[in-house]
Amino acid sequence: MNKKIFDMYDELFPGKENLLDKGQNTDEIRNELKELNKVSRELKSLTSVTIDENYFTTLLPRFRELQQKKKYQFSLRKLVFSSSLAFSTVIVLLFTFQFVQTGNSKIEVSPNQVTVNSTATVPEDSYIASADQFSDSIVNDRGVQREIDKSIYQSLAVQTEDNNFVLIKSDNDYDKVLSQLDENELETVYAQLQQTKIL
Amino acid sequence: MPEEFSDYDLVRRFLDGDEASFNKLVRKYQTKIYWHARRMTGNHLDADEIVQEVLLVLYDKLKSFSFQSSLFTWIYRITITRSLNYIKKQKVRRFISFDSQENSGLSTDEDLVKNLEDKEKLKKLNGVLQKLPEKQREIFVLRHFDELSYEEIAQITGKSVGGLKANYFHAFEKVNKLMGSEHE
Repeated sequence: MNKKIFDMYDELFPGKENLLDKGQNTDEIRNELKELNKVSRELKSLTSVTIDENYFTTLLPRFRELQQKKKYQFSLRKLVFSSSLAFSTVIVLLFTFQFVQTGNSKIEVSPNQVTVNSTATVPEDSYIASADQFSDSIVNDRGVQREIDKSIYQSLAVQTEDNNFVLIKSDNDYDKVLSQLDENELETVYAQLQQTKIL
Repeated sequence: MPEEFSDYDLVRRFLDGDEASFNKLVRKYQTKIYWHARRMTGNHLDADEIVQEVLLVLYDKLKSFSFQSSLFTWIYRITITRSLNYIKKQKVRRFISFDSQENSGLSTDEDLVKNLEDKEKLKKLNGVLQKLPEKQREIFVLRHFDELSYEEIAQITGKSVGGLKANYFHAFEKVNKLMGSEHE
């Protein structure tokens, strides 16, 4: 194929094919142009097909459906992620509190009191028992509970205009409140939780 | 007679919260997006998946569209990028699953072309186009079937007009030979 003739053809194409026969073209050029035009027309004819228009009329509804599905999946993922993050934050805070408590209790020990530090001889079970005791004491500590509850109540109350906090007594109540919140409210609650210093 | 809005108006209205304007944009460009994707992939199911992807991108990214280029060019850019990415992914998928190209995405029931003769035509066209390398196919489809000017194609693909012309010439030459061999 001659590049120069092709460029000529390409300039005429599309829509000016009727000019192919005109001008000062030699027979050779004219024949090649006709050949190119024939190939082009043949290719075009392969695309003139009858289609089921129903496809294009249902395209938008199908797209909207897909969009809703993706939106739902995204919010679910976001909720799972944010709740797991909030849960880990609470755990970290509890451990921090435990650490602080341990430090404080050491200070409370009377200097006159003789304590034999026999770490090596203390059986392993007693460590576990004492750790459990600490956890229990933190979980049962009314002060800590009050602070955590207060923080959650305040976060949940951000969206309410009056300050009637929702009373949460159990996990079920908590789930119920969460299920009533929409995506934006959940985001606000989560942001508030992150900003609140519990301890 | 329904009121005609420019692309600019439709985008502005959509950004102001009018979802119907987005629907109008989709109706305006859906055929072009579909047929470009179909000629690139060679089958209906893959083309349909690309169309859905393009519409999702369009919906999400329209807010950042700054009208530095025409919406038409921008939509084409999204379509060709998605089509090429899709083809690449399919290649990898096929490589992993040892699936043959002939078996992928072909379903006689789900095609929008129902007529047997028309199906044969598209099969023949597909047989030729799929033998071109993707990038060359892209330029060939944009120039020959979508009938875009070299300047428009240059805007969409970011390539020089000279390079595009050379690429199109080589693609046409190959298609010419392939069409000849189809007749033999």
